[in-house]
This record gives sequence, C-alpha cells and structure tokens, in this order.
Amino acid sequence: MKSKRNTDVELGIDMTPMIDCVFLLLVFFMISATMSKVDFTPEIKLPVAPKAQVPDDLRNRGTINILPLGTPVPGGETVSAERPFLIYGKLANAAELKEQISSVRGQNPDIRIYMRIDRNVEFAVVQRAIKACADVGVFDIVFGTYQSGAGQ
Amino acid sequence: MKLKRPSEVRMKMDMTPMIDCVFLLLVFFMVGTTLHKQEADISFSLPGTADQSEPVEIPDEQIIEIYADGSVVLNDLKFDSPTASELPELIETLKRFKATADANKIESMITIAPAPEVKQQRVVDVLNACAEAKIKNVTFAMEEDS
Repeated sequence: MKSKRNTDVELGIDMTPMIDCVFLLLVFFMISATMSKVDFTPEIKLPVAPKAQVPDDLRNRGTINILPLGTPVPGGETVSAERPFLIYGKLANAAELKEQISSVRGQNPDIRIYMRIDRNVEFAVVQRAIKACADVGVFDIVFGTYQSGAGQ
Repeated sequence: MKLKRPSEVRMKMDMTPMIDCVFLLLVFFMVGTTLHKQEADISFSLPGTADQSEPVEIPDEQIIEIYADGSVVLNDLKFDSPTASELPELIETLKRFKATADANKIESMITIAPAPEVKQQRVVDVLNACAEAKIKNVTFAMEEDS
C-alpha cells in the first residue's frame, strides 16, 4: 500500500536556535573588538621580532606612536624632528611628552609605556622618547612588534 | 456597537530583515577583529635607582653596539651580516654568556648602544636575539647630550 504523502503539512523551520547562536557570536565579536582598543595608528609598520610575546595583560599601558620623519598625520601636520611623538592623533615634542607621561603616571603609578615605533624610525628619536620616560621616572618600557610578516 | 477585538488575528512577525541585519553586523565584526594583526611585546627596562639595605651583587654586563650600517658588535667582534635580520652567531654567544652567568649565580645584563642613525628594526633584531637567549635584563645606553 502506498502511504499518503503529507504534502499539505506546512514546512516551518524553527529559527530560534539559529538566532540564539548568531546573537551569541555577535556579542562575542563586539566585546572582543572593543577590548583590543588601544591608541592604534594603522600606518605604523611595526618591526618584526619572532621571539616577542603576545601579552595577556593589556592593562596599565600608555601608548606612544612614532612614525618616520616626514609622514603626514591626520591632523594636517607632518612628523618632524621637533615634534615626532604621536599620542592620540596629536604630535608632541619631548617636553609635552614628558608632561603627558607624568600626568598619566600620577593617576596610575604602575604604568608601562608601550612604544609603537615604525621599523624605519631612527634610534635618535627613540632615544629621546626613552629619555623622556626615564626623566619622569617610568622605567618599564615595551616595544610593539609583529611576530611575523617581514614582507608587509 | 461593540467593536470586535481582533484577538484571533495571528501575530506573525517577519524575521527576515532582522536576520539580514544581524548577519551583516556579525560579518562586520568578524572581519574587523581579524583584520588587525596581533601585536606582540618585546620589553626592556631602564636602570632605575632603588634604596638598598644590603650590598648589591654586581651583575655581569655586556655592551652590544650597533653601528649605523647595521653591524652588531660585542667585545670588538662583529657578529653576522649587517643586513640579515637573523643573528644566529650573536644568539649563540648570548646563550653561552647567559649559561656562564647562571653558573656563577650572577645576573646577566645586556646594554644596547645603537648609533643614532640605526633603524628601529635593527634594534628590535638585537632585542629579539636577547629574548631568544632568555636574557631579561636589557637596557639602552643613553648619551647625556641627546
């Protein structure tokens, strides 16, 4: 006997578990995107150090960005030997840098300075940034690097 | 006249635009998070002053110089090629230095003295060699006039 095919039954997919799942992923990516927010200047090509460690603890960090001399920055200025340090989109000279570090250090004595320095920056500029940190009393400095990708 | 309340009308919501929208956000955040290349740390600390009640053991300190052409010099001896970013000879020497210092129960310390024209990538190459040799105490030489 041929059974009657139930073509009349409405085909309805229960969407609820899928939406649950999608929302979960959405919330996860939204949170992870905001957690990794630092003073991030995408133009900087960080140097490559295969033995560098990816940090677990990103707290207590103040970021200094250093671009090569002559690079234009979004504010319309150009990086010069006089004002080479980029902090939250603004160029600063050594005295302003010291001021900023000491004010951040006043709020948080455990501050570490995270230097995102382009691979083509000359050490003379880096040395001035290190000296500014030392003058203010911050001795813990970290260089930002990539673990791979020399070609980029 | 009493109006008939539409309680029997089936409430049916069209989910399609919402799902479209959620997928769009999902794809946006997935792409946004993976586009960032992960940044890693290579750290050093500057010599600071601290009050000591006991005499301090003098650590074994070595100075690595980096010349403007990129050559790396330790104890008047040039290591590796000035252009290659890998420094296998330096890493070997640093490992031996670290092993000797550990055997003598003293701390191994490296001071890096780059020339002002040296590019950051070269400085990080040397820091990377120190990290590979597991030397934690790395600092930079400072010129007073700079």
